[in-house]
Amino acid sequence: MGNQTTSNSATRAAATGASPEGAASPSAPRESGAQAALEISGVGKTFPPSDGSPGPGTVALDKINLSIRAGEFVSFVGPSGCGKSTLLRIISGLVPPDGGGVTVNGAPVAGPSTQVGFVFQDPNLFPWLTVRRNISFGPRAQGRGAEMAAEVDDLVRRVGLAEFADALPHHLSGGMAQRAALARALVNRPPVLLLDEPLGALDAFTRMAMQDEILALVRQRGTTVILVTHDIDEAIHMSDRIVIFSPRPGRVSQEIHLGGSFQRARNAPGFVDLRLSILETLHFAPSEAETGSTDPLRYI
Amino acid sequence: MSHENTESLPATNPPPAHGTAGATPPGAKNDAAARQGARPAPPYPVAQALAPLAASWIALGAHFWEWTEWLGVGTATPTGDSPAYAILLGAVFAIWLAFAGGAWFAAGLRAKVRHNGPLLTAGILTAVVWETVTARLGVLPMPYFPGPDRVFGVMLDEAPLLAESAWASLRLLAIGLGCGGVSGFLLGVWFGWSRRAAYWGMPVLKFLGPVPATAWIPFALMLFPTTQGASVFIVALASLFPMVVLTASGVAGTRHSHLEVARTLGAKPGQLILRVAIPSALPSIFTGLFMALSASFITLVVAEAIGAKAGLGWYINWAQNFAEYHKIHASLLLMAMFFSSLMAALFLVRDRVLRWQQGLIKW
Repeated sequence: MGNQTTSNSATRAAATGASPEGAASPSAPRESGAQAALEISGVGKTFPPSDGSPGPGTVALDKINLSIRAGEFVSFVGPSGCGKSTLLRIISGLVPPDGGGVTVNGAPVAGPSTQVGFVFQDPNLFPWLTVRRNISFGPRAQGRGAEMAAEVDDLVRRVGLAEFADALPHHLSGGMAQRAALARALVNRPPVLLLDEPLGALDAFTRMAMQDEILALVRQRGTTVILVTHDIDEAIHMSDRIVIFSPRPGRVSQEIHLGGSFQRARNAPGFVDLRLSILETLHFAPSEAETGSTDPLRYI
Repeated sequence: MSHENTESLPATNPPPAHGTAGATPPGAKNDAAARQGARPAPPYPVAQALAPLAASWIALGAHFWEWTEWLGVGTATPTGDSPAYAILLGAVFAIWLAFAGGAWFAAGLRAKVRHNGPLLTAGILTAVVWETVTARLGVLPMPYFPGPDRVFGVMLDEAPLLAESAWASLRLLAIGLGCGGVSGFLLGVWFGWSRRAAYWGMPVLKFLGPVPATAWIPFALMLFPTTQGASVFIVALASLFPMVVLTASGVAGTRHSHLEVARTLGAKPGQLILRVAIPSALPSIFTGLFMALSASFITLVVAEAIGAKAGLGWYINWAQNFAEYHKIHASLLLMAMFFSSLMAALFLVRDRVLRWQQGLIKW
């Protein structure tokens, strides 16, 4: 990658139609008139020291501000420990923030609700329920099992598990289990869907197939999605916007708007350039100024 | 904990092939059927089918023919005049003949013939040895060790009384285990779910729980006007402790991630307990039930011996008072059948309810 690293990221971004923004500026909706589905304002989170001593804790998130349009697909990337998963848990209401707040369609998030769906890295299917009953868990827990039965059947078919509907989770492969988990989260028709590295444990081919399946499902429903991923190709392929986090304290270091105009096919021109520019931001590819230092592990 | 399940497991549920991307189709039954169709039917287990028949003929012969007299050995105590043992042997012969004969035509029964034939043969030959060392040769002293004809004879003669006793025991067990099991389950869920309840409740339980339930008998007799009430109380107490402890540990051990998933799917606390915590605690709850059942058997026999007017514990105590040793043997045999049937019923229910665990955990 020797000569590629010499070109600078701004020109690459211009060439690909993506526009990196500074960290400080909260992202303004790019298309006028688009309504913010999700508003994250001043969210902070500090964890106490793990040894229980009084002292200052770890600042996992430092006053995060983000505004996400309805129907937008946003990816959070960044090194381990930058707080992106914590932010996802705060958005879902599983964890309360220390400061700031999150609103979904104007309503503040006070706890987990059917407004925000969540898919975890581990499918976490209930092992005592069949695939169909896992997917219908949400409606049944809310006492709407009967009226949602058709919706459940439809989703079972859409995620390609029709012939496994009555199988128990331990009979499923990793990809099938994750598809069931996705259907389970989508059955409530949440306006916002949070994906915490849902494809992280899958093999490369299953992964690429599922990226497209997820895109098709959420596009059709107009779901607003936040995806946490370590896979930059995945982020570029799927997102309208990529938010890059820096660790300790967790902050937004850069936002890249790919928008609707960006051609995100895996073989599109500019894909590799964009990938390189993100790696550079994450300090995993040496920039012009840094070509002298060669140890990539120093940032981990 | 149970060996009987592991044997029947491969037949009903072939283990998924792990190499094939874990994608075992859900119709495991179809799969098994297909495989069975592809493979020729298992050959007829001739030896296993014939052995029990031969053994029951030997047993009948040894029972009716005075062979010790003919050989000129032993003290030849006369065998009893009850036909019960002979009828039993005849019935075993006839039932096995029908079953093994059926397996000749129904290939599906052959595995069962192969499995049960040797065991049944051993059981019948044990009865032959039993009769030989007691009634025939008198190796074991006579009034204390009666032969099978006397023991089975008394079971037939006193069948109404024994049935009444078994029914009384079953009733006491059902009421006691029902009260203790249900309250133990409810307390367990409460202690497992609520930290505060566990803080106040568990110390009491840990302090009083290890006291053997039978030690509460004097207290129970003081507390209840009738011995029946006292018996129910201590049987309930015996089953309460294991149920609370194991239900609480099962509920408290619910995977945090399962609870989080359920919350993001819109489940409120009541639903979390009903639909997540309790199902995931079921394996532990069944272990608690198993222990509660064992504890209640012990307590039941002791409780019936102290003041009850019916029951298997009462019967064995009564037989002992009259030094009727063949009745003691008969009631022990009956208790073995009674308690092991209840255990088998519990395992049967567990295997059905916890079918989802097969393939995750080896029993």
